[in-house]
Amino acid sequence: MIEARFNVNRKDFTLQVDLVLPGTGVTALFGQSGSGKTTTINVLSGLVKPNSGFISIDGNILFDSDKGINVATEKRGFGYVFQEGRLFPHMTVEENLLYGMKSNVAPIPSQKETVKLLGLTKFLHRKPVSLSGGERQRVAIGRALLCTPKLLLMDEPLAALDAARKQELLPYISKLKDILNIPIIYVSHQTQEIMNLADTIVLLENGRVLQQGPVDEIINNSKITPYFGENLKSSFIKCIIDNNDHDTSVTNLKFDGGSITTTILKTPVGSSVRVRIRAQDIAISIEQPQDISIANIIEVMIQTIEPSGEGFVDLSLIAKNTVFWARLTKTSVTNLKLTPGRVVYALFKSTAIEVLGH
Amino acid sequence: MFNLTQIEIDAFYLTIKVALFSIAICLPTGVTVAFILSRATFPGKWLLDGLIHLPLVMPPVVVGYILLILLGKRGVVGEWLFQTFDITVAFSWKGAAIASAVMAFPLMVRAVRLSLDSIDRGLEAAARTLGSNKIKVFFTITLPLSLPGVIAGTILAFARSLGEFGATITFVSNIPGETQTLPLALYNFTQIPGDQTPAIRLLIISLILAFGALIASDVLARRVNKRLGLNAGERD
Repeated sequence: MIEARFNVNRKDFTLQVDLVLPGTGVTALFGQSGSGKTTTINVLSGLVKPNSGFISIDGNILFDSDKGINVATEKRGFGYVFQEGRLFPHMTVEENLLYGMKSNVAPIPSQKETVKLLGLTKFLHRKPVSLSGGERQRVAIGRALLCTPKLLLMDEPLAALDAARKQELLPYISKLKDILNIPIIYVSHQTQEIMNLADTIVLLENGRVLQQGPVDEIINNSKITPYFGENLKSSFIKCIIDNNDHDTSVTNLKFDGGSITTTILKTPVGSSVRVRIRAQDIAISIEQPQDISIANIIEVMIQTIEPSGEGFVDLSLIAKNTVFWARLTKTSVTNLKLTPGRVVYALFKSTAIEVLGH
Repeated sequence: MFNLTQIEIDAFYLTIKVALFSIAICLPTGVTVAFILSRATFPGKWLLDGLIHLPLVMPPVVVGYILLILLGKRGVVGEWLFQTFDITVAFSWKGAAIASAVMAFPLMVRAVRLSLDSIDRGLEAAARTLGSNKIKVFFTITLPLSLPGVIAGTILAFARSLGEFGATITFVSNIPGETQTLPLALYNFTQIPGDQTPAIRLLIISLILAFGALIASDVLARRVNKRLGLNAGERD
């Protein structure tokens, strides 16, 4: 468990953080640029000294302004993957990887496994200058892992890469999550990365923590949805793969309140995934439609109707313990006489389901 | 024409010796001071910066005279050096090396500092997160990455020492075999009427030395740049 309460006061910026983060899994620090994400992990790593506060990991105090404790960066034992990689240009890839390795501790995964996992075998004797952005970030990740960190800090490791490189690197980071037993703190302002990776979300705004909690609880919170863009208002639903039907090329997913159908996935049966359905992709029917091509028809109860932008309203719909969001025109709501408490059917095509990973 | 006299041979070796010792003084101190100026903030930093650059803007004769006052046998520091360590620097080749070092020092500091300023501080931060303390960071990251500046500074300082005249002649005089370096010997020969061949010979030697230093600097710089991965021509 990581406890961090601190203040950083600068001329034009104040950061006031009070966090308790779990000792496992990925915590995403989320927020717009200038919200204090990077400063927060710099404080955790010891690179920035807060004006006051207290930081501990698993009971070990790293910083305590009252007692005058400030453990030096190099003694904190945190791995740090920077946005720009920061590989040492005068060393080969292999020398970079070995730089932080301790002679008396064997890293897990081992040096060999790390090199293989990150696909670095053929680059070992090259200099960073001859690598692509994605390759450099893989080396940076490997270098941070081989110093056997107690905690891995990642500062927008994909931000400096183009879309293709991002897609190339994301699976590596997902794999890490499964292999490592250490907590990861991941800074990002990209919804997709966070949906794919995070277990816990911390939302920062103007140097304050606005929200923190498990991703499924927080994701449909009205405070956090604006960050995903008003047009991106979505339902995020946790599902378990029920079966992959290769004959009809569909996958059935179970959620707390029913089941949905999507185009076939490669994910094995039984694994849990998170899916996203945009509010604008959900339609409402008062009666259960027959003879319709739409694969997903779910009985729901209207919970709230709230205005959203010009001529539109957002409806929150409850199916047992799951919330769906639907965006309709005001005219539709009037014509259908939709009111909170009414039972209706939510309709969406299987192609409207976006699977985000586990 | 090419038979060197003993005086000329002495001047040649003495010049090299003085320049090498001058660098031996300049290099460690220059790198340290450059590092402090580049990385530290403290009150009075501008004063230190100014003091270091004084020899660059003052007439060399003035520098030589200050050295004579300070380090001469009856000087403030000189007397103490003589009484405690039995060392006299005035009117000896050691004094010539010191005079050269003082004159070359600002050049060394400037070159190294420029190089240090251009290093991405983020790399040093990254090294700290990988478990290196400040000293290890300096020797494994900062110093190797500032090598181009250190080399440039060393060559500049070496060349400055080869050519040092004003401060040397004022501080340690022009004693053949002891403090008479190439420029001083050359000056001597030009003052004697008649045969100019010894002066021409020294001129040629000076040219060769200076040129050699330039070439050496170029070769070294190329090698270091390659090692630092500053050229992308290394793909395999």
